[in-house]
Amino acid sequence: MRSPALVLIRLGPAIIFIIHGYLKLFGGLHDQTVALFLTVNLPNPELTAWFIGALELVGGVALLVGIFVRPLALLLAVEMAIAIYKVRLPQGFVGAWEFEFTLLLLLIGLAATDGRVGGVHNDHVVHTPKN
Amino acid sequence: MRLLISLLALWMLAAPTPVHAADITSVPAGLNSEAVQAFKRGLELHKAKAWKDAIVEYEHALALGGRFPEAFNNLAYCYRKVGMVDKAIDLYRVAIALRPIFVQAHDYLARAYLTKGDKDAALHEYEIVRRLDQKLAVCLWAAIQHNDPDYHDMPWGSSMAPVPVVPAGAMLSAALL
Repeated sequence: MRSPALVLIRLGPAIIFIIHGYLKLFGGLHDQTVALFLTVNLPNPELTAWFIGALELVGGVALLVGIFVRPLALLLAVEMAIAIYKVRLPQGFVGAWEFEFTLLLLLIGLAATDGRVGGVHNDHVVHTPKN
Repeated sequence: MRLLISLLALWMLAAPTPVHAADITSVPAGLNSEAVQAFKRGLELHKAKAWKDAIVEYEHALALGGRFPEAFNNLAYCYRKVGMVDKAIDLYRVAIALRPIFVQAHDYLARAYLTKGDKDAALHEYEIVRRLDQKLAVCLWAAIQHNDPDYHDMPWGSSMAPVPVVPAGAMLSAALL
């Protein structure tokens, strides 16, 4: 059975990713995102910025409604791992420029790939009926 | 229906955010007051172009725990002005590591690279500035075109200085970089 508590854990990052993805795609933060990617020397910063915005928006919606949770949560977790490595790590663990928030999103994303944080597909895939 | 309402609420929350140029005089909350005082003394000396004295105060602020992007950026600016460009570049990189889209630090870093004769690195920084602050980008592009790091250098941000007149052709070639 799906635990409401675990579903809530899934909805937290869902809301965060939807807002951040929307802002990157339609909210006027595209140029800032490209500037960030240029700064940390990510390849094809323009294309990568569109891709990351779409991933966050689609991945956030998927987490919200509970479909394709495992693959998209894994992709979002990978994105957070790259964000920590390329951007957040030099800023320290606590303080104004911390990476603790990104780490939290990474860990929840990884937890969601386990398949037990709710979602239509996960329920069918993970939970086998008791005899 | 509930889902649609939720998505609509999220859409309203995610209103477009204007991009503001950073203020290099700002101090983050929560710093110890001695570090803040040293930083502010540094700022006054910086404004008076007393670069060496400003360096002493900024270094003092950093030693007291004022390790925030503006402190590294302003210290780097003073080091660049006294000719210690390599040191300035290292400090600009620290400021940018702490705040990757710190537009002034990118602008000044480009000018430091220009001083070193590294035009490719300066153009890379210009690309970043162009994404963050059009007015600053015009000034930086003019500096690169003139191969003069101090050309339209704006120590207090883009709102404080007139924008140079750049030929349309030059801006077009900049946009195509």
